[in-house]
Amino acid sequence: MKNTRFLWWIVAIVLVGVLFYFVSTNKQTADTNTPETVLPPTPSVELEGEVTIGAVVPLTGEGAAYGLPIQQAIMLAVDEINASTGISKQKLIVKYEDGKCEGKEASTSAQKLVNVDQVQYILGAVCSGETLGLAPIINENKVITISPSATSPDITTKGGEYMFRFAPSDALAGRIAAGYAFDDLGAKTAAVLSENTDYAQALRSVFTKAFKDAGGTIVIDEAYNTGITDFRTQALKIKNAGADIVYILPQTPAPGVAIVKALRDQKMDAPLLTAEVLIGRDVAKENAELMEGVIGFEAFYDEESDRASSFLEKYEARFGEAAPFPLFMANGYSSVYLVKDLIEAHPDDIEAAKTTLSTLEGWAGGALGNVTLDENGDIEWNTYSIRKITDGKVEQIETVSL
Amino acid sequence: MDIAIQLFVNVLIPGSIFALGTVGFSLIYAVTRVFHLAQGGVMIAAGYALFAGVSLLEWPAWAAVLLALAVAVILGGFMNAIVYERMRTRTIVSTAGTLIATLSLLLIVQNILLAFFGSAAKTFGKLSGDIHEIGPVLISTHEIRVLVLTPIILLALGLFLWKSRTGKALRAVADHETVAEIVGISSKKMRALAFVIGSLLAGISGVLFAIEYNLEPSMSTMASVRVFLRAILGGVGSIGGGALGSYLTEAVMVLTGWYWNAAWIDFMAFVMIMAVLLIKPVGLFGKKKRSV
Repeated sequence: MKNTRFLWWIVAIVLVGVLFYFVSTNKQTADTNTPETVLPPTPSVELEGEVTIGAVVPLTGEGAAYGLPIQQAIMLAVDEINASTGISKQKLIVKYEDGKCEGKEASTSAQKLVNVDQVQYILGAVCSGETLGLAPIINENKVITISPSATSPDITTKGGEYMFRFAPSDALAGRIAAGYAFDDLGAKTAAVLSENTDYAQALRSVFTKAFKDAGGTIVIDEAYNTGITDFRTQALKIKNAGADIVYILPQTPAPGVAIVKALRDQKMDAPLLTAEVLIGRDVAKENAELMEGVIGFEAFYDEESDRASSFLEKYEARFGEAAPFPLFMANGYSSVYLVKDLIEAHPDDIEAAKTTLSTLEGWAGGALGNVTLDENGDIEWNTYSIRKITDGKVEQIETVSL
Repeated sequence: MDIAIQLFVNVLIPGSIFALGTVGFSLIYAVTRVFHLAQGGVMIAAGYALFAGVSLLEWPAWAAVLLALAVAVILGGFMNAIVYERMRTRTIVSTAGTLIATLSLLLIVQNILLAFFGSAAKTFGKLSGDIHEIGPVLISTHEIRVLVLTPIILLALGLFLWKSRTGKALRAVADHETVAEIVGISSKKMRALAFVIGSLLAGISGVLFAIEYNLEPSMSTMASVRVFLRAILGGVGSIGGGALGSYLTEAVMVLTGWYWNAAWIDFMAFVMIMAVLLIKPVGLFGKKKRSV
C-alpha cells in the first residue's frame, strides 16, 4: 500500500513539474503575476509619501478578458509616473478591487475603497453593469470616478455628477451599426442575439429602434443569460427566419465566438455584425478562420498617432502581447495621467477637481490627444470606425462621423 | 418533421456531453457520499490540458487527449486522496464540511486555470472537423464523435458495473458500506476507484466540451452547477438517472429556446427540475438511501 501511494506522489509531482515547465515557457497570454520581458523602470527621483487611488476592474470571471489587460495598461502608467516625478514627488499607489463585471460586486468593491482605503479617485469600472453598480456609492461619498470602457447610454443619465467616462456612449454605436446594415449592406431583415447584461441590452434597444426607424424588420430579437454555451438551437432559429444580417452582442468574447461557430455550423452566410467585443485583436487572431468577415463597430482611435503608437509599443514591449482592446486600454492608461494632473492641480479640493473635469476641454495626456468632457461626464466623441476581420486581423473599412 | 429531427440532435449533443460528467458525479456520490462539486472543475481542467497539449506543446491530437484524461484522473484522484479521505478519517463526515471542501476545490481549480491560462477564450477550430449534411441535419465531425462515443462509453460503464467483479464491489459499497467491508471489500479502495472512473468520465466530458464550444476558466463553476442539477434531477447516486437527467434538462432547454425565447432557457430548466422534485423528492430514479 505504502509503495503505491509513494508512486502516485512521484508520478503526480513529475507530471505537474513537466506541465509547469512547458506551460511557462510557451505561455500565450501574459498575466499580472509573471515576470515581464521588460521590467518596470526604476525611479529617477526620490519619492516621499504616497497617494492612493482605487481601481475597480474584473480580475476574475468572464470580464477578466478586459479587466486584466486594462489593469496592465493602468500599471504601465503608474510605473511610468513613479519612475519620473510621481505625483508632486509622492508615490502613486493603485488599490485594485475585483468588480467581476457585476453591479453588486462593484458596489462592494467601491464601498471598501471608499471606507477602508479612503480613496478620492477611482478608475473604473470596466463593464457598464459594474459602473452603474458603483455609481450610488461614489456619488454619495464624492469620489471622482473615471471609467475607461463603460459604454451604456444609461451612464449619461444615471452615472451622477462624480462619474466620468472616456468611452463614448453606445447610443451612437447602435445607430451606426443599424445604418450600415440597412444602407450599406442593404439588409431588410435583421436578427439580434444579445447577452442579458446592461451593456448588451442597451445596444440591443438602440439598434432595434434605429433599424426599425430606417424601415427594416427585426425577425429575431432574443437575449441569452450569461453562462449559456450552446447556441445550436438559436442559430437554427435565426437561419430559419431568413435574416439578412445577424447582430451579435456578447458581453465577453467566449459566448460570442460560440455564437459565430454555431451560425457557421448551420451554414448561415449572412453578414455577421457586432459591437466591439468580438473584434478584440486577440479574439480575431486566435480564431482567424472562424471570424473571417465579421464586421464590428468601435469608437475610432487613431492607432497611428504618436501618442497611440507610443503607448501600444510600450505595452507590447512590457507585456509581450499586442494590446487586445486598444481604445479601452489607452483610456485606462490616460485616466491615470488625468488623475495625476487633477491631484497636482487640486491636491485637497475634490470639488475644484470635479469642476475642472466637467469643463475639461482639449486635454492631452497619456495615449489620448484631445479629451473634452461634456456636462454629463461623457466624452465628446463622434467618430466611429467600421472594422472587418480579414485573415485574423482587424482592418478598418471606413470611419463614420456624426 | 425536419425541425423535429434537428432539435432532437440539438438535444443529444450537449445532453451527451453533460451526461458523461453527470454520470461521473453520480457514481462518485453513490460510492463515496461526497457531493463532488469540483467535478465541473475537473472537466474544464481536462479541456485546458487538451488546449495545452494541442496549442502550447503542439502534440498530435490523440496524445493531447490522453494528456487531458490523465490530468482529469490525477486531479480527481488527488482531490479524493488529499481532501476527502482525510476528512473522513479525522472527523465524522459532516455533510456541510465536505460540501465546503468540494466548493473550495472547485474555486481553487478555477483560479489556477485563470492564473495559468489567462481569461481569453480558448478555441479548438481544427479539431471540430468539417460540417456534414445528413438529411436535414448539419452536423460536424466532432459532433458525430460525441453522439457515437457517448452511448458506447455509457454502455461500457453499465457492463462494467453490472457484470464485472470490481463493478459489483463498487455497487456493494454504494449500497451499504459497512456490510461491504464485512464481506471483505476495501471501501477505501472502492472510493478511490470511484473517483478515478468519475474523473475519467469528467475528463472525456471536458475534452468533448472544449472542442464543441470553447474554454474559459469561469466555465468550471457553470459546468459544476449544470452537472449537479442534472444529477439531482435524475436522482443522485443513480447512473441511469444521471444520463436521463442530462438529456431531459437539455430537451427542456432546447424546446424553450426554439418555441419561446433564449432568455427563458435557464428559467424553464429550473422550473422543470423543481416540478420533478416536488413530485418525487429523491429525483427520477433516486432511492431513499440509508444514511451510512
